[in-house]
Amino acid sequence: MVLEASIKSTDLSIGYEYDYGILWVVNSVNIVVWRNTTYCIIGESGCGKSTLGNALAGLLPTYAYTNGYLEIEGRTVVRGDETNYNGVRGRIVTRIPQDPSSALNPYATIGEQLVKVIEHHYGVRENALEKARELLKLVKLPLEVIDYYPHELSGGMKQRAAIALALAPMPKVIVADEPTSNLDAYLRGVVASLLKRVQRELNLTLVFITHDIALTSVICDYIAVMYAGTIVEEGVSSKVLHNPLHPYTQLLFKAIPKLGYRETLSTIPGSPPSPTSYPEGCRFRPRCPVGFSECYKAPKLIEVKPQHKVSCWRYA
Amino acid sequence: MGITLNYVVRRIVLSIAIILGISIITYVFIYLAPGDPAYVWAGRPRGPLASEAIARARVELGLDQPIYVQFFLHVLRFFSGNWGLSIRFKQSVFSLVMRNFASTLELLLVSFAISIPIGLFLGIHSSLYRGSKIDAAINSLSIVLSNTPRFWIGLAMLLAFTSLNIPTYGRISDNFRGELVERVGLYLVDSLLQGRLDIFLDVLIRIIPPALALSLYPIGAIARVTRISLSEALQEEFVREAVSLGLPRNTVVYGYALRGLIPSLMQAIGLFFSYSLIDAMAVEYVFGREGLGNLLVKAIPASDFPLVTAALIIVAIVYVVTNTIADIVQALINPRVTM
Repeated sequence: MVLEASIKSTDLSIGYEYDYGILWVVNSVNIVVWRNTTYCIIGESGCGKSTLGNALAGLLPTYAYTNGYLEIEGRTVVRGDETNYNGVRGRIVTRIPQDPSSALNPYATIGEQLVKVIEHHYGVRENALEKARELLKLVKLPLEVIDYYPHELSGGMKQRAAIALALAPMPKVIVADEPTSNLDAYLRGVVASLLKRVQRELNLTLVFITHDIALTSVICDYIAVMYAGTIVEEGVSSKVLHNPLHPYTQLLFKAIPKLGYRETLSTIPGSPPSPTSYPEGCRFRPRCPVGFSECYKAPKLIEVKPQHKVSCWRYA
Repeated sequence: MGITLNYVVRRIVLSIAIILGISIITYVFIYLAPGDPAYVWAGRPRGPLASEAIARARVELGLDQPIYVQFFLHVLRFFSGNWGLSIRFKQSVFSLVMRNFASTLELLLVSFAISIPIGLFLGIHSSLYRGSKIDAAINSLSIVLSNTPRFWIGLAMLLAFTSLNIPTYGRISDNFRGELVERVGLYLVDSLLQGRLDIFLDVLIRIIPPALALSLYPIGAIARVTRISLSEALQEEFVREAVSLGLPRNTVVYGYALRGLIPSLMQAIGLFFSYSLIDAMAVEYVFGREGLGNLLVKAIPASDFPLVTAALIIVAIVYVVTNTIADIVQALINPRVTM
């Protein structure tokens, strides 16, 4: 299979204005997401994952500043400070939201919502209902859900309905922004594998944003680890998961309990820096246990092993 | 979804409580205020027999009894449908209030037919462009509009129109007064029912300036309420999701964000409507129109408590009715609400 780029970003930065200038929440991100793969973005809260996800889905607020270049399915959506998502939202990218109970329109039935989206994009009134039924079947929801209002569904069903809704415009890319964070442990696995199955069956590109590292091993082809607005490690998921290179990734993985092991769980001392006071050089330096003098200069994301990039001076 | 008996009973009990409360407050205020209803009732007598006449009027009105007995009798009569005679006009309070209420209602309906679309338009656009210059301009405009004194604008309009020889004083031209057959009480409707376009136009020209003066406050207030609530609704997750699905902007704004706001906007508009009823006092007086406001202005100095209470109760009923309509619309729109 020839790999084709679905999402390509070059030095993409996203920022917000604050009292003393622009606060860059996402900093010079270079990523390539291949078509028909699942790309995971993991990291702690507040490191820019969701902002990056919103940029991919075209949901940046109007007051956001952008810089760099972002291309989705051959369409340039961000170039410098100009953004143009016309015709990209829906047809090409949709987003699966964090909280499905607030993402479904509370005033309309699931069927009405699906039909509205299908009609808008494809204008086939008689087939729209048929299409809505197919979507429900795809996400394994019983067909009578079509006449239900969101508040009549359980949390897991709402999440499935939200996935069906995101699939309704038949997009090529789906951005799932922590789709499992509000579900219990069992449903988390179910929803994640559902997304994976849908991605395979419909040949989609799935960008999966999460802080649940256990899930990534199940569904991801590629993993990017974000820290303080930058990507510190990226690569094929098996390589990143089994042989993490960046000290941050190593510490992050040590903080996850593993079944059958009795090791003490470690925590990473300190907390991620706020965008107002990023440290000079490597942003992980103040918390890094293995930092040295070189770390006062900013490292670059470089490929140190095949399909495995890391931004750390210890591998440069 | 549906309206339960429980809801109907609750509404009725609430309305009765509001009417009772209003009666108590007006009664107490009129009792405390200077002026003697018995003096007015006796026909403002002078001379040697005046005090005797006033004393007789006091007994006739029942004012010699203790205040709680007076109040009890007043409320009892009110709820049995006997609203009594106006002290100042010596006419049935009920027919006085109803005739004047029709005039005020007509004025308010025209004024809100002007202010609701304009207010919504300003509010929606200020919210869509919030933070921009358009927003700042609309915001300043709505503050100015809602704080301009209506009686002053009314006077200015009256002067301007009169100097242009456009008749705006009064509700209807004296020439037409005898010809119009009152059926509904709203002259705009009555004249059309009669098929008299000339009367209709005359009434319309006379109603527009006071309606405009009255609509300033609701325009500003509706714009501001819409701006705030729509700005909040546009941040809601399901609205952002609709954007992400590529739905067109108008569908997102009107079909998703604004739809859920309709009940609360209606409630707010109902509130402004009841408020404008009081506001109409000054405007009606300036334009020489009959109406509840004009009636109240004349009734209060005469300590005409049956008339004042009845007029204020009409205001309360309008308030309860608009709120009930808002509730019913809420239940129709929002599937999560049953009443």
